[in-house]
Amino acid sequence: MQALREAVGSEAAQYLYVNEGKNADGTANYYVGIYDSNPSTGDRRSFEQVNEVAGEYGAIIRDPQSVKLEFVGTGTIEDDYGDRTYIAPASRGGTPAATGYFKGQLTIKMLDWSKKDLGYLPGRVMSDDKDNMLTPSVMQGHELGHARARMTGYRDRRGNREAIDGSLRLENKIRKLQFPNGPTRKVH
Amino acid sequence: MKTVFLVLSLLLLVAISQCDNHSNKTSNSILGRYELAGRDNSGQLAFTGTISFVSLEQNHLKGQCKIIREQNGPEGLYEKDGNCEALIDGKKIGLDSAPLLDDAGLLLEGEFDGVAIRGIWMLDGFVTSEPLGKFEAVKKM
Repeated sequence: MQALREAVGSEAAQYLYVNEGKNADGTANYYVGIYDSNPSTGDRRSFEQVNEVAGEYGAIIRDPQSVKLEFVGTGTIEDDYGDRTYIAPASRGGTPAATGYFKGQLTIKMLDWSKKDLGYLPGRVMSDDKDNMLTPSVMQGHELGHARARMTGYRDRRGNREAIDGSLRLENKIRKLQFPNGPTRKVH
Repeated sequence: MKTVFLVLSLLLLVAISQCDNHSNKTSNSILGRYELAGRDNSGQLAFTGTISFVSLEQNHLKGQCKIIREQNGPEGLYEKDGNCEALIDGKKIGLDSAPLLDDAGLLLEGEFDGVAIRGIWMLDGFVTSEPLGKFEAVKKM
């Protein structure tokens, strides 16, 4: 939740709330919701009108389909189709997150950043050609971009130059919101 | 003058239809079974396998891939026996071995010359790797 709040910025974050639910096995899960107006300031604008990142996050949160965000440790994950990848800090032998279908549920598996740093993006993929430490909000936003592409039926295919790359678009909107003069990501 | 215009129009129409036929032939000829071999940047065998493209809708190819990691394959390369997908753009082709898992899988980017697809390969992740070597997929039927 903290990463979601950081991604949308302090003003839009005030619109977000969490409801606790229970899984069949008794474990807790948490659903993110959006207040109609800002409960702290009384601002009547919708969440989506606060900034561009909130505009994208609002569409994801309000979508009838849900996307699950799950922390995992370092190691191999396998989706419903038998595809596997190794979760580990970026640029250190694996990927810190991946998005796909697990037990029929669209899920983002993320390296638990409370236990492990997320690694870094090499300079070759950044607009300033400098290595860039990966933050939870940027990583989560990138994966939510992939998830959004699946929710809307559009496959985020890197082979298609003309296609909108949902993950980079959302990641860069977060980067610009957090650091307007900072670097953005050039390529996947 | 009208006759010249009519003849030119007809010639243009025939040329366009021939062009379409050629494009369709190129696209359809990519369907089939391929034997795959990938080598790392030092030329050592990294993976082998097969690709069977069974359908093509617009520029979207679907099929089955079997990928076997060889002795020099990187640790992040997982073996695969299942669905894979590719996009074609003219002679260019980009294949994803894990089409339903984002930030994962083997990516092949190459060109089809009617007999084989040749190009470079990478591993996908939060950051897609730099090219890790070259591959060749030779059509068998």
